[in-house]
Amino acid sequence: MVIDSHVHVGESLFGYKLTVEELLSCMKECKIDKAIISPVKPRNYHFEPENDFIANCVKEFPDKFIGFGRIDPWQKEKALEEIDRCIKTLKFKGLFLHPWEESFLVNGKLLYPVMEKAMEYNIPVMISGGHVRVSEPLQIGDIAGEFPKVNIIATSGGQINICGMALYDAENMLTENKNVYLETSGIYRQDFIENMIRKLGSFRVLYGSNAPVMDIRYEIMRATTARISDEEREDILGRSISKLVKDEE
Amino acid sequence: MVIEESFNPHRIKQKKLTERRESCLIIDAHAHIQELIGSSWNSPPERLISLMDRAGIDKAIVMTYSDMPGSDSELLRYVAEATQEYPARLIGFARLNPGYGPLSEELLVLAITKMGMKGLKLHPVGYGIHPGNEVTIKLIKKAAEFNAPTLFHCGDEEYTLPLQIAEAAKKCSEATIILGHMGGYFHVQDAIRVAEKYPNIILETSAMPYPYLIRETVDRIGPERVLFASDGPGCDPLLERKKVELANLSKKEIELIFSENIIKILEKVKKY
Repeated sequence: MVIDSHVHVGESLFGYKLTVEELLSCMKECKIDKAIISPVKPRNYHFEPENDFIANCVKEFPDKFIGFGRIDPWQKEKALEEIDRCIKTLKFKGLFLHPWEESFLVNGKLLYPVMEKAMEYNIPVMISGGHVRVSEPLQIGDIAGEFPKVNIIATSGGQINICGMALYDAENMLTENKNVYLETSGIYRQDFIENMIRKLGSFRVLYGSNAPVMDIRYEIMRATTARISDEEREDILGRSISKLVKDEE
Repeated sequence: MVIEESFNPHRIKQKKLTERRESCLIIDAHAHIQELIGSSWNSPPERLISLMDRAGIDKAIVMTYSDMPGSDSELLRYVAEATQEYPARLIGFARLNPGYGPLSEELLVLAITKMGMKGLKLHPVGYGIHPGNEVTIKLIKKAAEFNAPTLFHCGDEEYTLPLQIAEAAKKCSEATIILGHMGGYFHVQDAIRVAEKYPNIILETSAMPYPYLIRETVDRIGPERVLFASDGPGCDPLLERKKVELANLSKKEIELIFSENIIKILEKVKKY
């Protein structure tokens, strides 16, 4: 079972877009069985209709998709109500947060009620990681330390830095916080993924593409070409995320 | 003193390559070697070469991670010895800190005239000097006297941004300036912009994660000013190669980017 743990469906305010049909065709081409899908930030800035859209996609293709809800923490009470709706009504398995696109500090007090909700529902929170000033590795480590019972999926391993200068912090953050999972999209460098599989265990490393921002056909190769054992590869390509979202049946 | 055999791509000994291809030679324009025992950055030449074999890459331009002059005075010699040991696989670039002025220039001349090196590598994050600063310009101009290119780390950090390096390209119009990583994660549009403006700027594909932006670059500045590179061995040359192959390029464009462009640049470098 191959699962892409990070895909956005819809048309983003920021120009990128992906339709269900395009995603299904790409999954077929890349031999991906399932994908975790979550909303883009739409032109009208409202996540509720986008969450509905994702729920409908999951309803239409229950064997292909797992839904994650997206909220803007700046909406405060409304965001918390939307989390309730995402989990109770739309049956989503997790939350997606984008500190860069929604302009909030991942370790700011604003996020605490959101994390408390995630703890209450026992759902993982995927955080777009590695953005300067808002979701740097140590900032993700800070919020992870405050909420050790909430599983956090840090996209790009929490570091997007082509200089390699964030690798040290990301490695320490992942080592110290056992509730943080490394998602592989766009990662600098490939040996960071391979080393972290050895250091953290393959159950804490998840293949994700961050499509359509990134290219599924390329991103999956980070997992398929990594110099790791077959067992480890099966973990990062599907088993790890499957356990995390309790999708094992 | 170590002197590399003069560069001739047609004399490359074919090794056992995992990834076969029809005819196109593949030269990696940016990779690293350096002993850093105990660190994940440890990169003896053999680590890179085994990944090159796996990826079907014939030859790589290599440089250290640290700058000369620095704490390790043997770094240039280390690169020279590696290129001498693997003359069919490795080409050396001198990674220098321009801040030492005449001493940096002296080392560059030594590297090119006595150690077989073919270019200059600058990583301003390591030494904290703006690409447009006078000392940087002097060193780039010194390299250009030998027709040797200057490869900049060009990403998302201060002093490595495309618009900052463009100042050097403007001041040294006679120099070939390669933007390694072509602007990194967030500055690729700037990198293309400055390449449109300055004909002496060349973009290099390593570690930048978007295949479609390679296609866009070729559309906007032509395939002659784009180079394939891996930033290996930390970045996997196989993965980096696949990225270029996913960029919807024609066979001719692939040939130019994988080797013909860099061969043309290296052939112009004065031989000693």
